[in-house]
Amino acid sequence: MADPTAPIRLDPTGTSVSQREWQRTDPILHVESLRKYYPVQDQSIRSVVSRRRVVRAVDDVSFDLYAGASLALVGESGSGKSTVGRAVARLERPTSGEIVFKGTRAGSWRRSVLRRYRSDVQLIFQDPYASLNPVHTVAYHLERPLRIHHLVSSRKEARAQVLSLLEQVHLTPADQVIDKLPHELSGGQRQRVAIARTLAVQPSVLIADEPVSMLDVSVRLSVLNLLSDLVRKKELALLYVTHDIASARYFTERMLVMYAGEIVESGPAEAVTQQPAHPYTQLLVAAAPDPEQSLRSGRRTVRATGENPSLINPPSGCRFHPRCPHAMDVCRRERPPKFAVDETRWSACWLLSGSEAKAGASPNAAVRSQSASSVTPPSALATAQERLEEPTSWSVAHD
Amino acid sequence: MTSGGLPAASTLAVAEPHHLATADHGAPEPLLEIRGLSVDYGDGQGAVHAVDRVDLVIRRGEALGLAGESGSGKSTLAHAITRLLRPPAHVTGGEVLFYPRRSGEVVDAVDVLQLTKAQLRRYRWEHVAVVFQSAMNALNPVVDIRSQLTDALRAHRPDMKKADRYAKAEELLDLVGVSVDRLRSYPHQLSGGMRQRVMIAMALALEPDLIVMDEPTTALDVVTQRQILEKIEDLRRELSFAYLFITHDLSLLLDIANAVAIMYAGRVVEIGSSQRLYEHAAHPYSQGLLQSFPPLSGPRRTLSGIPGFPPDLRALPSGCPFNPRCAHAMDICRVEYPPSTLLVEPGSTRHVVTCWRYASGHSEPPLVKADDG
Repeated sequence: MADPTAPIRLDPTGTSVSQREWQRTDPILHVESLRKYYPVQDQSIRSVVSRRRVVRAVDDVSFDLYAGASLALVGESGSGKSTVGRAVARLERPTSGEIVFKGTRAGSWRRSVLRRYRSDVQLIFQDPYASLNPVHTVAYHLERPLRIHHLVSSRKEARAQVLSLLEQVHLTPADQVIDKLPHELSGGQRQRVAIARTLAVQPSVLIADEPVSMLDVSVRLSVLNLLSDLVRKKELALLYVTHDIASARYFTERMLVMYAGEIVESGPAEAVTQQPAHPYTQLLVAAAPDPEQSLRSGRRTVRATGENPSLINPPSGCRFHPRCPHAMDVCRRERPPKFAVDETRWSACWLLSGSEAKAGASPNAAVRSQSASSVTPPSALATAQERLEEPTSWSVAHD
Repeated sequence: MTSGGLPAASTLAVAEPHHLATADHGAPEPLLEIRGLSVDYGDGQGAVHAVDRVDLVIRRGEALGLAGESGSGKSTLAHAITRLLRPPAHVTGGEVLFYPRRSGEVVDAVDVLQLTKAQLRRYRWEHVAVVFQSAMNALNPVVDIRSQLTDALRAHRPDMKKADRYAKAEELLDLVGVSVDRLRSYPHQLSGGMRQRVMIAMALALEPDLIVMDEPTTALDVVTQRQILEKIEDLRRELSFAYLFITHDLSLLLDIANAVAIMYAGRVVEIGSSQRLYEHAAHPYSQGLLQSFPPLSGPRRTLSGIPGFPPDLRALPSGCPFNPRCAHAMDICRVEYPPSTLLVEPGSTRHVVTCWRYASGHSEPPLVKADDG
């Protein structure tokens, strides 16, 4: 796999971003410095006298998707993860940034171009109760994309295609499912229909935004396993947008962690969850339910403090610094760049800058003084490596 | 706190401990004992049995988890034991015995289902408080936090002075970790996590023995959820109330609760300590549910979830309702509902499973049965 963090040179004149042809080993989808700001509806006098305020929902997000591989985008609500998914599926117009699909910049909003792009890049929504029309049958839902994209020439061909799609998502016997209405299906079955609908147009990229969080727990894994099989068999590139870091670890190879509109850590899913480098990732891993750990090595206490920041007026420097037990002066001043953790991972945290790392927790925030007793601030010698050996520095108290 | 106004159970029902649910003798005494409770939605032929002959004991001071998928009856059970069921839901059988003892005094159990309106008013808030899933929206948007916090005090402690009530409100907010300068705030000025903390503070206002929490953190982010769970656990140790924590998230329950009961299609199919269930879940449904949550640590392995789909309560299969999804289903599973069996659990004896595989005289006895089971 090519280095996912290596910049791709963009050609400002044409739509082709590289001199050479796109190759199979190149990323199918390349996202560069994606930003999405929403204007704030503000009736107060302030909006007249000062410049317009914006919500910085997504700020400078870059990543690559490869064929036959899945990438998780993990974050809490309000982190901007869904906005990234929607912008990449071109349901939202990004404020700035590039989306490059198979070597070609996706810039135009012309209807014909968009239609082509949207058959290549498909979105699976969270709620299969809302994404299927209650008055139409399964057959209608699956035939529609086939017709719109001119993939079938006859009614008979369409029906055969629909049956084959239903079999691909394991809705068998397909001829019994095809004429059902959504209310006759369970949540898991509906989501399979929604997945079959995305497959109808033979996409090369799937964006799945919390595809299982509305489903009953006992059927979630079978839907995730189905997506995983499809990625492998059909060489799809999958972006799995989720709040559930454990499921992200389960079925993706690589992982991005988002906080307050920015990506704070990127790397192989296993490494990011087992030895998180960024303090926010550490917090997320420590806070997630994990009976394996709590029942084997005693209940743990996280003692997390603070809440997600305002995206209208995000904290200066690193956006996590008001909640970070390791915050230093530089964290408040400057936005951290990507520091390499090893050859496959990076983290946007000043603690990894080596020479810049300075000791001491911040004295100013009252919320943090509470945590100081339970979370040990790093010593003057605390290097990135040392901190990596203690992946759950949030979970210090055992009983 | 007194139990005045609550009738003795002896006049209502036989208060003999259930042999399965309270088998061990050294364990803390029961606080709430649910016996054979059934709740139907609707009547006659079209009735849906949402809760079906459930036996469950909540012990004094414990954290009991209740896990199940949507439609398993876990929320209906919560509404039944707090007498909050609304038509067409109604109790069709069983009893809910509450043991209102305080300061060592032994008081007879009362059947919650027989309480009069006045007794019920006292039972709620003073003995049992509830925190619901929709708690984020349960606060009145046009009333400030202090008034809502002191509402229960005003109703239940009519001779309490206003200044004392306000002092109590401050104390309560402080207890749940919300800054006291939020007292005059309105709900929309608080984040979801803070609103949920306020709801918990309200539940604590009259120092109940039991707090029923129905998916209290489901709408919250992982980190906020963890903060609130830790707060609840700290408070439980400090104030020694018991709580029944209801959620679909089994991995969360194993993480926080002392013991976990698992419901399927209106029945409790297994109960045991968290440790025991995690390591030796006996019921095939419990095993499947454990296989439905990918672990965050430990080896990465392929998990299967549970085949098939959750049952339709209007058309349950005969016998054990799990049999169509069960890999171990035998002939008898399709005919008759299985009996409950007590399994040996070192240290404590509370592992009860309702499955034919463990019933005596049937082919597969993979675990040792208790002597007195």
